[in-house]
Amino acid sequence: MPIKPMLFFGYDIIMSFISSFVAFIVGYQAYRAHTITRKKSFLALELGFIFTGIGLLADSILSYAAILSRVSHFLGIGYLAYFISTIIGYALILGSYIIDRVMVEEAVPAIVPIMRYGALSESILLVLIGVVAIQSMINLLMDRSLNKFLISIAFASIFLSHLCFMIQALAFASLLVIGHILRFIGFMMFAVSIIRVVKTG
Amino acid sequence: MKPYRSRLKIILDILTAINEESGKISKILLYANLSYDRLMKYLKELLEKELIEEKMGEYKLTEKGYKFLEELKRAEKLAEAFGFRF
Repeated sequence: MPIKPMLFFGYDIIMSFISSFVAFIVGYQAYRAHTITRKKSFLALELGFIFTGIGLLADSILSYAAILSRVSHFLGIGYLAYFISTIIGYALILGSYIIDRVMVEEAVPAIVPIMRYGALSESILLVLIGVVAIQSMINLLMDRSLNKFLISIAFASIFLSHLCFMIQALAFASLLVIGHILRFIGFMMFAVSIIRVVKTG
Repeated sequence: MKPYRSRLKIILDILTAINEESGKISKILLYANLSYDRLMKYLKELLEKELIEEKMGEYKLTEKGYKFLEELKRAEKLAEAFGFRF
């Protein structure tokens, strides 16, 4: 039985909101690491997660505003903010790996949210996060640890979520729900990993 | 070929040695795996930054040094999780 995205609307806002909070925590931990080490890769990671968090937060707040005000334009603006902010965020996260490897020697109708996840925009995000996911998998294969595993699963889940968002824009609307759940799982993996990092010492 | 060890990693090893082992030079040398001259250079720098203090030939972490070590350990864990070099 296919999942009806209409029934899911509202939960996606909550999941986006929690995910943005997790993204800000990861950004904050990267900021602390940058302050102490002065490594540019941490700075790029920090900014990457902050931009990703801003995108998710803007999307959730504006979607909520659309429900309250019944002004559907908020959904479009929210997705635009999400897309721009996320593309910058992913580019910065990808940049953090490049810096590390190369540069340093050292109640709105449910149809609306379905339409707003565009195939082209999601495919751009898919490519960016795909490269990051592959890089994290390579890191895991080279030196296995639980934290690396969690980060790899997180990026892989987010990659799959964008794949779902992209496909659902063309067909299979149910994938919107699965995409949101996968993205949420991804950010929860970041949360678990960050809790493990913070507990160090 | 010996794996490359960054300056940060060396400082982390020295501070960990002082914190977990005794603060005697011989123990730090063993733990940090450095030559005597290089270790003394690092210790001098850490003393200047008030991260460690010397009492009767033994080194101890200061409050500032202990906090720095904790932050450095977290940064190392984060770098390890994301697969960054540290």
